[in-house]
Amino acid sequence: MRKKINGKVATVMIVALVAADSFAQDYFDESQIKELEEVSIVAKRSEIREMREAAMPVSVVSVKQLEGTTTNINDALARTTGVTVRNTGGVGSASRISVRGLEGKRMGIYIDEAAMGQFSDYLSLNDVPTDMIERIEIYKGIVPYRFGGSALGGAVNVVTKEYPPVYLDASYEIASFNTHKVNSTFKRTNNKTGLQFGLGGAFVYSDNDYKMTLQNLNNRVVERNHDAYRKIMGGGSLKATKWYFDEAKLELIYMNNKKEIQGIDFDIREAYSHGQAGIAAITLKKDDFIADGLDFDFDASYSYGQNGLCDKAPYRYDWDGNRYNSVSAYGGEQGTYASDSDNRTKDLVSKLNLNYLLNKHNSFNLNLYGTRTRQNPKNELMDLSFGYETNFPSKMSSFTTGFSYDLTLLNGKFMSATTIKHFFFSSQTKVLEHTFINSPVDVDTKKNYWGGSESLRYKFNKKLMAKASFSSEVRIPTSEELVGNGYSILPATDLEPERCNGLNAGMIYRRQNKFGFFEAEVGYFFNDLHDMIRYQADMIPTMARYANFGTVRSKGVELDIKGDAAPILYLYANATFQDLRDHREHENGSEAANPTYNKRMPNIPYILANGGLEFHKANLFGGENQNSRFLVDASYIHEYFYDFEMSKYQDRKIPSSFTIDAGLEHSFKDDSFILSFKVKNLTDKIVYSELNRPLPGRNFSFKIRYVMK
Amino acid sequence: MKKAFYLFLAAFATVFSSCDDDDNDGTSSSGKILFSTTVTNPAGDSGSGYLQTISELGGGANYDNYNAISLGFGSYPCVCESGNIYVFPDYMGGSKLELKKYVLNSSNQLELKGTMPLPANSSAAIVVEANSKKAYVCCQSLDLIIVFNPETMTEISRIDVSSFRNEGVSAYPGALCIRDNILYVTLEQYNSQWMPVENSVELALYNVSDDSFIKRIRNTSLGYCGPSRPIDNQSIFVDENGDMYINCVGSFGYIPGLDAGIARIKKGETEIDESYKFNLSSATVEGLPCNLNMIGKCQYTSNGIMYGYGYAIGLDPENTNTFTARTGVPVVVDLNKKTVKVIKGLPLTNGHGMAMGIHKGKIVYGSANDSYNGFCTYDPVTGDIETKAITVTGFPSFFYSFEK
Repeated sequence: MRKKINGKVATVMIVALVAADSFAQDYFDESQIKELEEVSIVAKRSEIREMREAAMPVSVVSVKQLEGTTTNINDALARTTGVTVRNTGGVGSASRISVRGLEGKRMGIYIDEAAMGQFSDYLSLNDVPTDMIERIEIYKGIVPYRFGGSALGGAVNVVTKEYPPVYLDASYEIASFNTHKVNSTFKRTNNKTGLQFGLGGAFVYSDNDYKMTLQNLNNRVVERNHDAYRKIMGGGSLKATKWYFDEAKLELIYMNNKKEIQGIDFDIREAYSHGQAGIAAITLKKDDFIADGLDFDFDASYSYGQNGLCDKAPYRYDWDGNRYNSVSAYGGEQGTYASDSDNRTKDLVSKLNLNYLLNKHNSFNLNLYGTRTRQNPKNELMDLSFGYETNFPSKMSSFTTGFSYDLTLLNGKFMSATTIKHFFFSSQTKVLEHTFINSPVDVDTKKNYWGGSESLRYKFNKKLMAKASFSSEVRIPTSEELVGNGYSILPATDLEPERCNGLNAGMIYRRQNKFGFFEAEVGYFFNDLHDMIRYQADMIPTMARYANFGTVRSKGVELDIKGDAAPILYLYANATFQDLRDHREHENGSEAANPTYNKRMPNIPYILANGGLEFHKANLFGGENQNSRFLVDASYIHEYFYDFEMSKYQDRKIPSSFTIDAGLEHSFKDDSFILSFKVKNLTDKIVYSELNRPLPGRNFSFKIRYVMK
Repeated sequence: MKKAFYLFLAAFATVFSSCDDDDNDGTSSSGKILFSTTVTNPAGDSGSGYLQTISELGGGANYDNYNAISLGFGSYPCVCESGNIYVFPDYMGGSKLELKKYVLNSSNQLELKGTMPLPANSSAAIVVEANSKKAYVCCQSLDLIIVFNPETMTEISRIDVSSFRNEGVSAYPGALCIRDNILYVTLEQYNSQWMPVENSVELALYNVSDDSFIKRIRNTSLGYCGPSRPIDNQSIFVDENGDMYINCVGSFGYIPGLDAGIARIKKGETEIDESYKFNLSSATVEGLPCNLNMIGKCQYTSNGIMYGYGYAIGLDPENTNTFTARTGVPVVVDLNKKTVKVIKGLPLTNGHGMAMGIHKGKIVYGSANDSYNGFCTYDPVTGDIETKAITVTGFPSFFYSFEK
């Protein structure tokens, strides 16, 4: 299990905790606030529209969707066309997000356009409270050049809210399975000096003790008994808007978590993971920097993290209470070795974006993006289990240079964005040679690659627009893929980066109706992913590593319809068909026919659909300045096989799921007090999104939120 | 607007309907020949095996897996003399935790006759039958042997071998063998890397009548280790003279000095025969340009002749994927003369494609080679070789014929 802190996540946490600092604000007195709020509502809609008109394929999850039946970002993403979220359990459990079937490390994850880095057990998008999010942008196929870095499957960019200069937001949520969530944000601006101070904190706890049905044990039902999760976060920020830069911001954050490990086939009773991290981040922005039309945007973050897995119980137990010795003589409930690790990770990430607007037709952009990671794992108990030193340090650096040119013609009807990128990465580590597995040797690696993309957009009229993009993108291997994790995964210094040649095309129709708006969108995509990187287990546990898989071809269509059906009723529905196929004609290094050639890639859902409604009305129960909303969201995922589909008797599959969530929300005093009640999995279905990882049945939550603004 | 909307729907429906699953032309049929293939998932650490029956071996016929039943990944069926065919869950976990018993029915088709729950994370791999009412299944990761009734597929009792753990390792029971009413349990003594830590050959012996413990055997004088390949029920066998041979796999060639070899327990004795030493790691193999690391799969015939798949890392030294490296070479081993010789004309195979068996007097080799996945045969009488006797979909990982 990989648990490290990536410096790129700094912005995520800062945003989550001190969200009010994320945007520059003009100064205004109290009398202006009301007017500004009204304007901002209009502005939000226009921003979404503007975003949809960008040349790249993008879906937008708005604040209304976020505050509906969802309790976290993953819930909201899962209802978006072409997006799949694979959860392994309850609060704090690991999850995987994929866009159009390409998942995990191929996705770029950003907060306000600052890269968040890879997911880890410390941090995920779910750690950002939905209260603080303005919208989520999901870019499909192509990652906007200004974001920097390397990604293939697309990108998720969380845009945080703008807040007035004096702001307090506090909420408490209580939910099933002894779940408690507390969030608070405070912001204060000194009008005279232009300095903004922010403080924030969050606490999450859950027992996650829901009942689960175990497929491998004849559908036996047991209660989860070792899955408690606790996370504490706190941070502060200082932002200056009257210094040389339009915005200069320093952010500091600390987080700490502990998660028990829930057994599925076995009754794990003692193992847990833990971690803590400190992050510092700086942001500098200035328009007309050095020359008119040249915008300067720089951010950098440094993180220092410590994490570990404690798994040293001498015995294991099955669900009947039978006791067994651990596989290793030194203990361990999970695998073949005992662990009490103390891994230290240092990450530095920086991005410089220079955008020059030459005139209304032409603009240029230079993006420089660099990362540096050092890992120092330590696990004496594991060394004892294996009989030699298994943990060793490593470091990896990468640098991406992107140059882009934007062309706008025909009074804005036609837009083009052209990007070329250069990728460089290097690593230094030790590797175990497979002919003598307990004597590591030093290895240095340096590699260069080129990539590029082209995005086009044409507006036929105010209602109808077409978009297309072509790309040949490169994804640099992550540090874990390239240099391993220092203990259970070996370096793979001969790893080639993934390259994806893709085509995206779509049409959007949007018009106003007498109730609000109606919108329909259809999209098509085709991708050839070469040298797909995969985890490669080995006959010997410590010899696992990442390897290039070959080519995967994906194609599919998406349909999305939404709109206001009545003054008080909003409806939406979307569906996705994504077909990913193994495109290796021969087995690796052989002329033998590949038995899975042109077979559907296993363990990836291929038919998804969502739908829902929102009933909303002001002052439904009388009174003034009150708003009520009732929401229902339904989601369907068609069954899919865990293995390549070969036999008519094949039964290892993730079954179809059809789940319904409902929510009721009522606010007072212009959304200053908000009460919300949610029911998830209303019909109490048995649901899996990963093989043999049961998800919660019907569960409830109640939340009270106060916003002072 | 409506036209545009209908256009969207039509486009969506068209693509949907054009993406049907592949047509399947499954051609497998009933018969007295069993084989399985392994197909890995993209991640490589999971996948599935597929077991089916066929009636003929030859002529270059091609068989897909459409009519095959699913097997656990990383484990291979055990066929007992009674005709019972035992199928295990995933060796590393991840599939339904039960032992399945099949037989060939009157139509020579696989018929499920019973199941028995297995503990989680057990890495169950070997079954030996003492009689119609008593059998043993080895749960290797739990240091456990489960005694069960094969007729009713119900558990009778458990034998815990964890007390035989040496310092810092797991006892890790491997292949099982019954001789003279004694159950021989090989003890791998693996550390967390599934590696031995010393050159010792150890076994625990139990009385089949009442499952009582008899004795523990430990030998360090032979100079090799790893008694039996844990998932190969042929790696401990009794020859026509009543002598028991154990194919010791050492450290699979990964740790110099922890060698592979053949151990023997002579008829009527219950100790390792120290006079019989056959170190495979240091043996000169005729026709092999590099050292042999172990015999990965073996099939004894008679007169001291054992056929096998030799495993030699030196045959594909640059391939870091131990599952797909072409390191398996067909060999013939003379246990009496202590010689190993490569069988010329048979292709190299990878770690997944090491099926072996006997069919109508011929030695059958599964082969996942550079050109195809399939089965080859070697006639020990004439020396004739038929490559590509049949081709299969996936790595040929198991073979058994009821027509010896």
